[in-house]
Amino acid sequence: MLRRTTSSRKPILIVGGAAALLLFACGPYFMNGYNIFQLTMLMSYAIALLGIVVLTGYCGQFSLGQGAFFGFGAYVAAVLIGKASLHYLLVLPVAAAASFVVGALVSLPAIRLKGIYLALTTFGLAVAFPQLLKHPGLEAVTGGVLGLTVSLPQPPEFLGVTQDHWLFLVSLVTTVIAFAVTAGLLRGRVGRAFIAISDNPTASVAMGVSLQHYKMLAFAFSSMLTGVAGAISALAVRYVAPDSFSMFLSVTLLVGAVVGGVKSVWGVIFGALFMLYVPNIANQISEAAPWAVYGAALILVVTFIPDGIASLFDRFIGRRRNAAAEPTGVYAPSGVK
Amino acid sequence: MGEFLNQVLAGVANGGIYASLALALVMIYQATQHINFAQGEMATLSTFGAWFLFDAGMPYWVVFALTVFGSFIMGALVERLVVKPVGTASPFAFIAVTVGLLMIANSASHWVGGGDIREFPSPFPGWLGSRYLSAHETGTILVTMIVLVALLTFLKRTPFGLAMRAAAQNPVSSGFVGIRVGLMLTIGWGISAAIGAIAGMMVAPIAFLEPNMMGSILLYAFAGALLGGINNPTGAVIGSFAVGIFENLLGVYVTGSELKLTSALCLIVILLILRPSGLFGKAAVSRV
Amino acid sequence: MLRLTGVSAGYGKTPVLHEVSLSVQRGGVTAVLGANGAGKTTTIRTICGLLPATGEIAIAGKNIVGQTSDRIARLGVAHVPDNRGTFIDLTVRENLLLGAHTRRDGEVEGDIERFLELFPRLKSRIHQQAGNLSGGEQQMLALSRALMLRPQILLLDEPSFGLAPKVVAEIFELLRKVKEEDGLSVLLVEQNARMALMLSDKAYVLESGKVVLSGDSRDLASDDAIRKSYLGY
Repeated sequence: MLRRTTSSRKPILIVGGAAALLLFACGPYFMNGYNIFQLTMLMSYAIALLGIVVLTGYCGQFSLGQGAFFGFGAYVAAVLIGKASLHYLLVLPVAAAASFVVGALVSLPAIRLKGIYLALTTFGLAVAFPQLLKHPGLEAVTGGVLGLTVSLPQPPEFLGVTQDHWLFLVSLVTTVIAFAVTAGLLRGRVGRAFIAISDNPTASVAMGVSLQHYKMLAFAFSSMLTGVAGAISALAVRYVAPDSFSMFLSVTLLVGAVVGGVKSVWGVIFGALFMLYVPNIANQISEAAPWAVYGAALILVVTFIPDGIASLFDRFIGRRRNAAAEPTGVYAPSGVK
Repeated sequence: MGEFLNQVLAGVANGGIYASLALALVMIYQATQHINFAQGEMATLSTFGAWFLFDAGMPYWVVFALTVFGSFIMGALVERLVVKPVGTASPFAFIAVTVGLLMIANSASHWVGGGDIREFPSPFPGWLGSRYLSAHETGTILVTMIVLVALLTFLKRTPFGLAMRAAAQNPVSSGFVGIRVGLMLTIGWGISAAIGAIAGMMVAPIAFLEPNMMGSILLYAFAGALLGGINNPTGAVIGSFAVGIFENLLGVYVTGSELKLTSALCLIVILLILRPSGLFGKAAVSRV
Repeated sequence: MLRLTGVSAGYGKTPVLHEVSLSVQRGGVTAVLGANGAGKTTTIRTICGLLPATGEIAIAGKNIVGQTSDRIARLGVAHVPDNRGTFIDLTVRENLLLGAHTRRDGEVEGDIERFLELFPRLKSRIHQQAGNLSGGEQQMLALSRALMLRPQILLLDEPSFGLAPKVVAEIFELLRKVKEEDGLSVLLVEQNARMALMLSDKAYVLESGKVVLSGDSRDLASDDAIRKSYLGY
């Protein structure tokens, strides 16, 4: 999973990446409000998918409940702006911190579960989350079934941009920070610990990697990212309601991560694009179609391109991978003698 | 006291439904050592199929037999065409595939059934009903018991069932004794789809047939299967009844009906932490 | 009974066996010897169809290269792998029953009885989970399971590995009996060259995936130079 780019191509990638970023940043000047909104949602999805890459791709913990964390972040943002009148620039950091804490709390039981059991529990979380939001006891805070509306922040006067554009810029800064922090984390000691845990938990314990400690970090960090993404989406959509954060959102996020490449930080861009545009296309076929398309995409990608679209690009630009080519399947031999 | 008993029995009635789906989950686990997240949605699709046969005027038990058989074929085909190409490379891949199947099956149900809620007939004669349980609820429990006994007999007492369990647990050694592992997996999927269809036809008269019918029932069935031990059909049935009773009592006396699902989730989590192999399951030794 | 001709095989792109040729006579015992990593286990795995191979592998004249392992088993080839291959979550009895999976005759119960008489330790644990058995007991179980198939040829991968000498002696005694009574053909892969040569008629020595020595077992055992340089004793 550790990759090294051949050194001759590295400067090209850096320059190209910076140029793309600059282009992206200037985009809104040429677009209408709706398109800017879409770009903001793109970034929100990308950050959420980053969370899955960290948790599932690197640390090997399978979560089907990311939609719940996304919704949590969204509701935190909505409540803070609507009820607590918090200054909007503080909303994102507070949502991040709150999500981090919640992720750490959820990880307490979660780290004791493995594989299928963890998947099951997080699946349950995804299904139960909307129910929790609709509970009459919490209605005063959450707005119950009807949800809450969110007022869009006003941009500072001197910048002379629209509300949508301002939110875009705030999100862009957040996204860059998110990518930078995540990439930094994963390249360092923490990232290696995650990979060790995912590849061989028993051996990593023997080598002194504190399993519980790092798993908790993975959960907390990933839900922080997902929560921030949810907060951005709440500001962009200007509305939160329980049924927007159902199990289907969790599955959609999963599909996005897998399509992009669940082990790839940069793959989330492809995943986010998939999440943004495929429903629209699928809707034109039939109303129930988006879910079937997602399901089919998930199955096809996992079967034929297990490392996602990012892996196709990796091959294209010549990155080498340290993946061990173990034969697998029903008749796999158990080792060489 | 009478009210309490009523609630317990209402929980038993629910438990009967969860148990029927839990058996399908246990079957697929025995055959493949994996959990099929799409079990509920596939069952719903089967039930829609049954509904259309009813609409065409066929008698109940003919429809029942055709649906069970057709679902067996559907399950087998899904295994051959969708699951097998993925291979057993990683549990993640398998989970992802069954989640994908869940979405496709749900979509298919929407497409076939539209948004309408349909009534579904119950085959059980009125005299089965009593003061506490309706005829259909009693009938469901009876059917679940019959399926349980049939499944146990098949798995534990027939050479074929033994071969199927062996193929799931140790495919390599199974090959060495001449077992066609691939065929076992296909048939395993077929049987569990068939059991799922039975579960669907038991649920539909109570829950009314609509595309999201099995959504939360799947969760309760999982809770029941895990409580009893995912490897243990009898345990899964007992566990499901326990879940039904617990969930109902909790909902009536403690938390209110809105949090039933959440309480099922909490139950699952606590269970898995304390006893991953369930109340009646055997602990698997983890070899380094 | 079993003949390999020019067989090459490997894991992925790396070839491990290079043009190996060996044979087992009907009713005879052939030993395959060599150090760790010489390719002994790979040879057996290739015969069982676990690895893709080039060349020819014939069972009673029929070429089985490319067949799946269950088809090969149904041709009467029984395999006791080096890791025992026990079905650990099933009972001892179920393990034995599985050995007879391909059989359609009515003598399965009789055979089970026979093996339980032979191995009283298995009899006392007949309904226990096989994973609870000790190494030696699992080896007895693995051997019994293989013989339940009533095979034409038995492939044994390091049956003495990790076992106490007394247990090893028991197992080799059983093999000798079975060879004499049932006329079974046996391919025996072993690191314990001394015992293997005592039991077998013919032996091959592998080194780095190639056959470097072959011949009558008695000749190999009595030749001091060969013993010291190839067989290590």
